[in-house]
Amino acid sequence: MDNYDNILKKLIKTDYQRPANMSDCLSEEMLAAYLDNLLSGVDKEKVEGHLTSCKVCLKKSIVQHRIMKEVAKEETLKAPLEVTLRAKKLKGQSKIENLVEVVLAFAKDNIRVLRDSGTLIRPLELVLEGGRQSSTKEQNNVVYLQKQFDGVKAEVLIEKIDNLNCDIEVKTIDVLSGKLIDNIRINLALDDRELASFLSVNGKVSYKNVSPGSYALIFVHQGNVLGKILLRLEVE
Amino acid sequence: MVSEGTSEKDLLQACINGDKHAWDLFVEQYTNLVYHTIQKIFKIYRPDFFYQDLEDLHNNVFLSLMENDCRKLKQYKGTNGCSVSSWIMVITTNITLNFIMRKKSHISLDDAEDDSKSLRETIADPQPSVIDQVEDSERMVLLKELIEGLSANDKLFLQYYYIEELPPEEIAEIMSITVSAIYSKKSRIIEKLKKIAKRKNLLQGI
Repeated sequence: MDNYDNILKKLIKTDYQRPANMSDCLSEEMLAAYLDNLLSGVDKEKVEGHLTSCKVCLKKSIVQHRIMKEVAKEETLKAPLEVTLRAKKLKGQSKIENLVEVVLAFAKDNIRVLRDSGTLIRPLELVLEGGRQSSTKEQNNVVYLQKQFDGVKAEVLIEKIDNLNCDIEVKTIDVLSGKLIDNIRINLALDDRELASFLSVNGKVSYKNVSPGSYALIFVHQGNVLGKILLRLEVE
Repeated sequence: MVSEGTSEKDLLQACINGDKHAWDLFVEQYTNLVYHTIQKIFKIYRPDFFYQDLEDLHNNVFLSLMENDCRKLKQYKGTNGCSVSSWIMVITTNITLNFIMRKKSHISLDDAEDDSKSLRETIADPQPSVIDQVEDSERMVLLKELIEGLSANDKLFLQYYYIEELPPEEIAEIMSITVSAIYSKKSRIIEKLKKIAKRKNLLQGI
């Protein structure tokens, strides 16, 4: 190494460890695009400028490049089936995903949905065609909801029985087999206070004479919360 | 309705919209890549890995993409032509390296065959170490200004070359230039600095 090499090494070192603001670090997409040689002009300069000042990203770029090269060398491994299935099941497990809110309004002669935060309302006609036994129920007095949690589908039927009360029936169904399943605990809470807690028997849990208020139906299986449906019943 | 012919971006958007079928397709499309990437990292940086860790990390990668209302999935823009595969590989590598760093403090992530300072140390302690402190003579300050005057590309090259001490072939690959360009680049930078330094009479006594 000649004198100039030594000088350069020393100079670069002095310039090397400026603390970088972590929030300004490269996004995964930017780094991937850089390593795939997809950047040019300002974008490339921006990435290289960041790498010169952020030791963490600089190191990551090196490791990342080595891994990409190694992975490309050989035929991609096949992930075991159970691993893939586990990842597929993730959809519906996130807390946000599983928290849905429905606002229902009682009117003189009907019950209707004011709003819902998900796509869990199903038209009653479809339910009836699907063979529900309660086909004699007047459609204006019934709202039907369904929400799929991890491996379990919840069907909730809310039936207005008089001007101030409704009955709630919850069915728990195994997503894979489509059969009713037991031992799913469903807690009914009013303003964060638990009113009732039942295990599903014959795939069902019922709550009678539920009056207007802010409720939560909390679905629990083997100690794990599968999800919640927030249900607000209002009088119009 | 998504199908196997759906574009990457449309598939991601369908996943974001909560389409379970799209999510299944997405997982099927990238499950092998994620698994293979984790396995490769483990083999290089943590050969004594457990298969359960591999499986859990595989799950964590997909979880990271869809948790918090698919926050991560929404970050992918596809600008600059970056493929979803490359993007997912970077995410997978980050998650796996973070896992290894948490688990094993003694493993060097710089290079499996290199016992130089580990990536863990680098990430955990980005502050300048004593040996990195250099004399701050007036001359050095002026010379440093010369370095500051180089382009980001030249500075990055010097860092890979002198500090990380990567072989020229690897620098060439990362920076997408030829190996011969590495040597000419180095000579050009030195010549450039020499000229300026001589003009300013900065190199006397060094």
